[in-house]
Amino acid sequence: MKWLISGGLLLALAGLGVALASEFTDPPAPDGLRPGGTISRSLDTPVISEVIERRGREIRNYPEQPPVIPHSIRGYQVDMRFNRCLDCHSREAAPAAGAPMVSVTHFMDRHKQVIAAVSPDRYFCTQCHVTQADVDPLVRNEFKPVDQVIADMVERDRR
Amino acid sequence: MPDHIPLKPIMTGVLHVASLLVQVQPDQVEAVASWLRAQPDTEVPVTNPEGKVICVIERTSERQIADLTQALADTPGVLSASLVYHEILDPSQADQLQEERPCS
Amino acid sequence: MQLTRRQFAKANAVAAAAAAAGLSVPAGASNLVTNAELTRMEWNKAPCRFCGVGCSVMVGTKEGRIVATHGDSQSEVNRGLNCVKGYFLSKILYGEDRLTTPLLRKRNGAYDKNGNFERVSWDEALDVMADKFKQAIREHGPDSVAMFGSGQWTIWEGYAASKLFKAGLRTNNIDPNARHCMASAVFAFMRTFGSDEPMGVYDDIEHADAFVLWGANMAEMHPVLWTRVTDRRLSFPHVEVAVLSTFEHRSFDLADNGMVMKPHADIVILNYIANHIIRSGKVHEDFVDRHVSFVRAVDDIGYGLRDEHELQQRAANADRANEWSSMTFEEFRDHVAPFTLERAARESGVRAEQLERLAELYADPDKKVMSFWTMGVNQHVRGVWVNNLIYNLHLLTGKISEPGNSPFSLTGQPSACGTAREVGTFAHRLPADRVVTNAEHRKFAEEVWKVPEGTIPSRVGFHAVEQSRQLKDGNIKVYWTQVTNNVQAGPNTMQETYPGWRNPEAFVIVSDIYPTVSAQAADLILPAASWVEKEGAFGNSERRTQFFHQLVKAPGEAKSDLWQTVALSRRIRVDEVWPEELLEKAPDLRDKTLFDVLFANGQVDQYPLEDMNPDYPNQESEELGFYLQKGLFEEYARFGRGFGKDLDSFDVYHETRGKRWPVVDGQETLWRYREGYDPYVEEGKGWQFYAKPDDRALIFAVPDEPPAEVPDDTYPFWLSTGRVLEHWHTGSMTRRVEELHRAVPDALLYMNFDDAQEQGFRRGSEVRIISRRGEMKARVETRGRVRPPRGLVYVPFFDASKLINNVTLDATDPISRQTDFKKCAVRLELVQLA
Repeated sequence: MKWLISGGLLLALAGLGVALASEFTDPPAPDGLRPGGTISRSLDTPVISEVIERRGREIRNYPEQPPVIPHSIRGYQVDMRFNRCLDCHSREAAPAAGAPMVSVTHFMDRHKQVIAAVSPDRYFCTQCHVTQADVDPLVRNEFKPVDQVIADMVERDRR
Repeated sequence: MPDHIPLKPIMTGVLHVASLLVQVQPDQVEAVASWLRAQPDTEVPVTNPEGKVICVIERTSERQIADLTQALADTPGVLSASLVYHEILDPSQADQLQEERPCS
Repeated sequence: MQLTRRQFAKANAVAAAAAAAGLSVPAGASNLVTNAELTRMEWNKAPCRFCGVGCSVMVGTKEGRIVATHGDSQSEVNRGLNCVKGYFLSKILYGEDRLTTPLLRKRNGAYDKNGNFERVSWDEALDVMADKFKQAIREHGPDSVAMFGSGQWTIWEGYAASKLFKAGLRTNNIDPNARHCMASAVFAFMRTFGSDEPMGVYDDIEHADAFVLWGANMAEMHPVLWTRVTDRRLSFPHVEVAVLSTFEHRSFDLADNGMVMKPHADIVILNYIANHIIRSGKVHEDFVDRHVSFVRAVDDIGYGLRDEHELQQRAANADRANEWSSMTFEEFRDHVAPFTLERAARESGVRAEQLERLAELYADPDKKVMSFWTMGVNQHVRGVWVNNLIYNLHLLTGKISEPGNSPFSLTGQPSACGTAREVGTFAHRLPADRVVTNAEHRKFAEEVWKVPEGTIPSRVGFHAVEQSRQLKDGNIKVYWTQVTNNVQAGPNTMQETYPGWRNPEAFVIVSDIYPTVSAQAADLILPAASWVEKEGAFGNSERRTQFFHQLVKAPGEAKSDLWQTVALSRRIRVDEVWPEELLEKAPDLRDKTLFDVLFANGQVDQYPLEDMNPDYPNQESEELGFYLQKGLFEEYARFGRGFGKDLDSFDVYHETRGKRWPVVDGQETLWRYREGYDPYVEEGKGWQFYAKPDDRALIFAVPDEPPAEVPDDTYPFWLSTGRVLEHWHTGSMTRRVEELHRAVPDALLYMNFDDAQEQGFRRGSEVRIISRRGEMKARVETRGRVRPPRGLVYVPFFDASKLINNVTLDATDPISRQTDFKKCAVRLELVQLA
């Protein structure tokens, strides 16, 4: 139908179209977790990334940090009947499995009493320990571990 | 200060304290030192421009010390890495004051 | 110097290696190993920045930086534990894209709605803001400005903002994002008990014989409380866990009775359980006779959509949704009688024996029951009713206000209770359960605030969803949001929220620490300080008020939300925003600024800097010359003292791991409404629901009414949205932590394997999710942590690259005005097969 409209009107409509569209055009903006100026766009999605396998142990940011899981846990059963993680990481199984034993803190109950087995409040491993997918960080993190902070202090004092 | 004393995971019941003398190419001193600093429980107290790097480590097994030595040998710029000092501590007593050490 | 064995061994190790190398050990280097001074860290407590559980964490700092965090072993809440998010708190403030300077959209040196963001000074930013506020109020009245705040505000940030809007700018257009989160819980508390927030505490967990999760996935959303439930269940074999949800999730791993129900079937199930209790003769008659009344709720109340929407037009009682009338027990019994086991099983899709087993937990007088719920119940077009229905079960059986018997409404944000609810930052509220529609309440607030009578407007302000609509319609001219990300989190983004933000009529200000999607949509971005970059206070789900000191400095020119609110108040004169008739009542205020009236009022500014702990910085107070936080807190506390919401004095909270209100004579209260625990209960009463005029709690008769939108041939799937353990809400903090990002890098479309196969999808296929309102693309996951039944899909909302709220519906509970994010209809289209 558009070709029936006269040139002048078409131009006016086009102008109106731009004006209407500009209301909903994404304004420029700094990049964040999403690129700036893309809010109204449906972005393409990356393929589901695979979990990193056996990369060795990750460095912890500080001693109290729960270590991440350096292998896939897909299909692991962890419920009231069975805990697949403890199959390798329990005190008894760890040496043979070549896996680190769960930390001693896990043998303490809510009242800091050492008990004979892993404390029930630590039973669901994934509340603290997570696998790592093979993806790049979205934004660089400038956190410094304490030894780096101390090294920077010493370096600064030396100058 | 809170009551909390950070608990380190104890895997084998012993704590190895060791130092390594690492000889590196002089232009690689900083790179190797910062790689070492990024390793857990590893400190680099001394370096010199001629290519000597001293690191002190805490480990829970001898194999882990060997792993680090091997990793160093595989690191570009490292000429040699040798174990100089090695002491085994009981982790439960490692944070007690030295003065309280029983006679041995 | 005294050395530990470890230090001694390391010193020897260095010396030996240095000797071998022919090097001397520099003093500084040997200190690195052995100098206790150098390796010492500062440790301080702070409540976690994330959810409403309110774990206490120890924060390690060194050289003005956070270097470590771990669970606080002295905290009763978490006893040294954290969830994975809590363990990574150290890193949340260090994303390299922290906002460090104000940014204003400009073209040719002046503000322009479509301009590029340019760095501006705080002076310029605040001047522009003040001009915009004054102009809007002058030309369009005070209701042309609005604020959207947060359950992540500290208590004094929410209090100061609320005061600025309600008593300074004179509009009730201020609402927290807690509206999306727990408004339904608030209204139900007020309806049933007359006072907001739970009667019980987390200690109930260690006393309960049974736990019932109503639509809550505590394993992921309240992980540390879940560790306590797990501990109780695994340590005591008689304990039973029932989990009810519209899909299977991680909490089912602990369930003795896991039930997947059809969306919206909770109303029928809850009415059936009440019927079961009555029919099996398990009503606690003495308790009901003495402490409970029965009422019938108004029905046919609509869906909180725009007035012109067909569903609103059809609803008979949309304008009086929060009303009820009394009824007898017999009438209530007859009301629930049609809700039979067979009907409940048929309509919910849950097996009858499972429902009966669930009903028996409540009916059995020897079982102490703790009910938990959050978003599954609250984000529901009948969310207030479902809250009321859960209380019905506890009230019929007298299982309330005693250790282990506890209907417990969970919260999602660190200070949803402390700031949004107790301070009353909702559009209808004032502090300590007061409301703007009540003349006496307004008068009380005006007296405490030392402003003339008539200052606080009586009209309820725009709630969250209404704010978006009013922005779109051009009625809100200036809009300020702090600590929240509504373009990502609010419903129906492309039809309602985003067009409103980009409306040329509106000037939109976002205060945040990172460039969120909302910041990207704003006109002025203000860089904020967060968490321990300022002195703060949060209130958790069990009425526990917790304080924290400022431990580090915010980067660049970033300033706390409190600083920002106060700074704006200094730039607005009273006579620029108040009408003549009000100024005539207080002519001496005419030339004052809003800062003078609200903050330099002889109360807020009465505590000198010497009252501060000299070991900690305090950016706002040092600049103002008085202890601002203490002044705000003590003025605010006057609202609750003597009214059942008593707080202890300011300094006590810095010394303790929090206290649960009411705190009377220094003693916290564990179980409200119960003699022996709650000092407000009169002797000999046993229980006393003293916030109700006749001391009786209400049992509500409500019918079953359908959801606002149900799947059909064109849009055949239910969509539920929600969260994952590793990311908190819109992910603006957690996704900048590498380990948490790697744990869950993308929002996925969780769906049933058979549905996927039938649609021709495979795991990993890219799919378009389309509703009547918008669309979004995601990858299909059929083997994930969320296992939906056929006909339902689940998408979390943390991912800024996948805005699932383009798809959701802005239908709300008509009473609470809280959005139903759990139910709308979608279809799925294949984009790319995996």
